[in-house]
Amino acid sequence: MKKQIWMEYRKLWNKISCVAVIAMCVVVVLHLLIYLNLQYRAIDSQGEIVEGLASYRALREATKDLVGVMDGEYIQNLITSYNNSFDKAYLAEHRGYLGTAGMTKYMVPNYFINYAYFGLYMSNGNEKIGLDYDFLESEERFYAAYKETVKEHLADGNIYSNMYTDEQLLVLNKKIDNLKTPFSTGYYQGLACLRAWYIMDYSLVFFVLAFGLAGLFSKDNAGGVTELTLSSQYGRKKNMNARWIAGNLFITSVYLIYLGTQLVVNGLIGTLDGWNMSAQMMWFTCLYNMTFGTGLLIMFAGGLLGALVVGNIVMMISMKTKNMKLAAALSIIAVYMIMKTENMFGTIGKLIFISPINFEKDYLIEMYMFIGNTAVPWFIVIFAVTVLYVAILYMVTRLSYKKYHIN
Amino acid sequence: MKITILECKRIISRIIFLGFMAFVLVVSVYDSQRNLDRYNVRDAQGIAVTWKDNLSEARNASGGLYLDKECMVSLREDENLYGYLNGDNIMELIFCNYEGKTLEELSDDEMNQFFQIRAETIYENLVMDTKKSYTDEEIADFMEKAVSLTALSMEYAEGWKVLAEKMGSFVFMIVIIISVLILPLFGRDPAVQMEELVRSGRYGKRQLDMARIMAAYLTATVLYICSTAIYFVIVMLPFGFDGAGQPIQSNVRTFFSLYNITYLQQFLWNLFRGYVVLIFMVSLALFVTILLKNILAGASVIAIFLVMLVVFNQIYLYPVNHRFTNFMPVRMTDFWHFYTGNELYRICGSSISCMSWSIVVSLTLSVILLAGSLLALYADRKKGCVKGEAG
Repeated sequence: MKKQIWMEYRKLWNKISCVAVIAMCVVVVLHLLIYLNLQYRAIDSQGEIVEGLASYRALREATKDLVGVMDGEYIQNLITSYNNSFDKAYLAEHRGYLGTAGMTKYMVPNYFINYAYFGLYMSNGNEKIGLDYDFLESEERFYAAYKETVKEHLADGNIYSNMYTDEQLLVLNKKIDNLKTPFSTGYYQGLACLRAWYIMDYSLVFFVLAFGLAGLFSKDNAGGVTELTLSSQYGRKKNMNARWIAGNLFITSVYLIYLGTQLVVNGLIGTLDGWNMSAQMMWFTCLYNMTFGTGLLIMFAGGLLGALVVGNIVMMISMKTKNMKLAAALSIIAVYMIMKTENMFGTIGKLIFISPINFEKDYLIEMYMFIGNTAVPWFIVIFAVTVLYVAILYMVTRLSYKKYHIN
Repeated sequence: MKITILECKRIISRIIFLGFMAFVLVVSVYDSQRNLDRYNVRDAQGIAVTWKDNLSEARNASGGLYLDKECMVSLREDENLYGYLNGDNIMELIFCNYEGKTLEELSDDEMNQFFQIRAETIYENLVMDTKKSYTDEEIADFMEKAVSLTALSMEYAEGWKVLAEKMGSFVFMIVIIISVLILPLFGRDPAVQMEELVRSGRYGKRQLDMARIMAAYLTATVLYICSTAIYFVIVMLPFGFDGAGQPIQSNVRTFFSLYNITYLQQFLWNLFRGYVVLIFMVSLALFVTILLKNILAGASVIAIFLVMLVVFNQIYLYPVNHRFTNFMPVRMTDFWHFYTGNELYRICGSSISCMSWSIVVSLTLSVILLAGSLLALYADRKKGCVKGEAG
């Protein structure tokens, strides 16, 4: 069986899938290189403005003295450092700097502190980076203010999304109280870009799968023996499963190539520093005691689940149509419709887990689904939904096994 | 020519043609229905005024209507004087021109200076635009066009406004479908081993290549004309064709446009721009399939190229748009920015509008792709390569 799976897997790496994967990687690399080069600039440790790809490493170098745990002493040092910095004076003169992709080493800790004040209305920009707040007098007051803001944020956001009942909000409030403080901070720009571009380019994986898997069960593929092998008794029992497993391995491979490309290019440009930083530096309303890196790994796992769902839809279409070109066309339409469902239920809402295009997003870190008053983490919901999707799609595909005849 | 016609028939069989037309029809009717639904006036009980009554009232009340002081004064006295739709359109323009002020807040002087204020806003926007850094001459040229608008007819032109609003996404979709339909011209289907047979025929070399290229452009042109004609008629019919000669500035989205043209001219520009995009996409499809010699491999490259353009469009980055995406299908069919963006290209000392230069560059790229395709075909013929590719 293993050998059969391996043979089927190798067959999937034909000219069509190789061309599609290469095209996907080229687009990912170009998208990163062009936009990261043209969009960002940073104030380095000497107070110079560094533009382009070099700005990330310059920012990382400048941030070295700000890496640490945000306790009371850190906060007081930060205030002193910021008030005497070139960055503060520069930001006062250039009002649109941060709002137009300018970067300063104070961005990560200061934005986090400002979130404790602005809450739901927090955004990036020169107006929301100052440290002139009374609650910064002590570590306890600051984290108490932060936790209170998160509670208000969830309650205010809930007015629009209606995600949680009052009792459920109380459960979440307990989680907020249980957050272990102080948090750690530092440089994370490379990982922040990785997160943003990973989400932006994710749909490319779906298109590659639509082309790569369209011919998996088709009668008109190049070899011309599929029709024969799948119609045989042994073919139905074993070859079908081997193909299905190979298809899932192919999905995983394509996804890992996509993820690897993102990791390598972002790592080379902005580095992957910040992996062990507290997740709250990126996701202000994250209620888990975990690192930024763990949060990213959860998102990457969610992305794989989304790819598995879409890949299985393509395999089902391939089995139903048994025609490569028709399967590819229908799969592209299916992928397009899946992409359209991204905001079908609003940007936030109880039903967003239905669409695989949302499986890799920040919801995984910031949202919960409640069963009664038990908060189920969103990534477990996504995992369960994926199992359900794949099981149904497998059964529908399997139904056609028995009807696979030579024309 | 006979081979060209045969190739056209090969890729567009009667079923495919009818299927394509049926699809265009469905999309057009759906778009039309959605457009009309926006003109239903709703209250708590449901639809208070139907689109038919709403449009009919607007048409009857807008005869000889101009947006001037007299119009504003009379509208202030009686807000229903020109009907619901005309009143709404006028209010939108006033809100836009006076930076958020309502009609009630306007002084007599402000009403008198409607066009002067519009010109001043345009001037401020031009001067403040640091990315484009206009020269004094360029600003003077723009301002000449801005001040030349001294009267604004508000006569009924809802159909043309709706057409301008929706046409971009329709054209983009049609262009994609047409470029997919022509993929089988050079992309070989591994299951059908006819290529060797056809190529060994008397006219199976250069003549066949040329005929297939001709067939691609011919088929694409016919399908484009037919589909846009159907779309135009179906979208416009419920609204009526009146208003073709009205200035595009009566639409709030193009109020600050420096193109002093009519809705009909705008439609023709958009139609032509869509055709240029089609020529580019056909050239790209030919180039990719000739190089890869496989339908699905070619389709995957085109699909991922289009996804790339959509992804690039998510973040507004002036240098990328200015040097690349302005000439590509996604932004070329996003018609609005051509009328209001005032983007310029400085070529050999002269300033050329994005509207014109994007067409020139897109056509040049099409010619380059076509030349590349012809070269690849020539190289294949020299090698005697007609081998089918494994799918």
